[in-house]
Amino acid sequence: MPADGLVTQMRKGALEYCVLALLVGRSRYAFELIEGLASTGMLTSEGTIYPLLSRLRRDGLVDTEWRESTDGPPRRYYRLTADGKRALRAFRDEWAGFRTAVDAVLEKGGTL
Amino acid sequence: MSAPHAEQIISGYLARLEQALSVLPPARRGELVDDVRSHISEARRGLADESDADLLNILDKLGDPADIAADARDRLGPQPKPVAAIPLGLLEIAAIVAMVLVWPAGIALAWLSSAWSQRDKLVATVLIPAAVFGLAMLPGVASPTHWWVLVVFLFVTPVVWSIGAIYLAIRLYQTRLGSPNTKARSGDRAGVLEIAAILLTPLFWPVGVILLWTSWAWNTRDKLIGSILPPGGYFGVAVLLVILRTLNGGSCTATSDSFGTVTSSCTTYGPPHWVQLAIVLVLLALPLCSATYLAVRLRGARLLKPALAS
Repeated sequence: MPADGLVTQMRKGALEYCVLALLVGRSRYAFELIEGLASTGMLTSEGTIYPLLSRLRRDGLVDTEWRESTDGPPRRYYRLTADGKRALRAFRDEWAGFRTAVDAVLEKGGTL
Repeated sequence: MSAPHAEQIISGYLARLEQALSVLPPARRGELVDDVRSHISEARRGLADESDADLLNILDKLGDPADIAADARDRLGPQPKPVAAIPLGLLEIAAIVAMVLVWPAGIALAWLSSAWSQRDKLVATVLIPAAVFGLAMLPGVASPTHWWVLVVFLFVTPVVWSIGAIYLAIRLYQTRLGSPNTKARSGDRAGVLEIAAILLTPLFWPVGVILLWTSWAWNTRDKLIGSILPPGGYFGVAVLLVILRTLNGGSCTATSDSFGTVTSSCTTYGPPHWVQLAIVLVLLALPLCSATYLAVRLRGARLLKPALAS
């Protein structure tokens, strides 16, 4: 099914912005982000969050900080940068338009 | 309490992950493995009394190392776009050459280019001021009392003066070397670039050295030998001759004591004539030697190529 690859790619692309959205207002460590995404079903294997976070950091959309934890070794916290906020805002606008447009066409097609 | 086979299960998983990530640069691979390792210990913290099955569940949720690696390759692997964007255009060559000739212009051009990272640009910007400062701090440089201090100084100055340009050229070479775009490497061809590098290295050293580093034709060792052997090239020799001539003048001081007797003492701190001659000869020969060396190595590389292919 050709659409399968498309859905995977869409999910992968959208996941980056979901992570950015989870970081709005407060920084989190990876484990918290995984918990935040668990209900969405978007993160099929938890380990893939780490390449994603590394990528976000490389692109300057998040930065990181080690913080002591009360019950174990220090944790690396991720925080939204100004660039990250800008990217998220742009995606939100884009996504809203995209969703409306696709929905409109899909609904006009009627039920199968 | 740890699960009976905790050590075995976890290290096996991490080893498979590391293996699967082998296409990534070591730094990124190490970081990801560390992330996953701390993920596992974080997950274990939530378990009161863990069993082997608990650990296997944690690893199952993390996912197959091959899947994580595939995702990492997609997101972090070498991307075609930045590679194509690593330019070696007129701007980069102009920036490097200007670093030697008109330093501020060179810095400005380097900052305009996208071929270097911010860090490289910063390093290149502070290198010359730092090197000049360091050189000035050396004992005896401000008021040289021995001729050999000046000779050493003369050897070092062109290196210091071109250090920013050399750094940029080396970094550019390394970046292009790291790019998977091997088609861009025309390593076995003696093109205009290579010939210009061989000719200019003895004649106008900084520019020659820069061309040398931008070529694929030599390996890093050859390039180092070509860069360091003739510091300054014949341009440096000319400067040295002028300095030696002024040194030979020496200085005389005349003092008169209370009886009106005038005693004059002269000091010359120029090197003995045979030393001067030897230095000049060596300096004339060295650039020629390294140019010859580069030419021979170039020819060797070209001859070796068909032999390797067959």
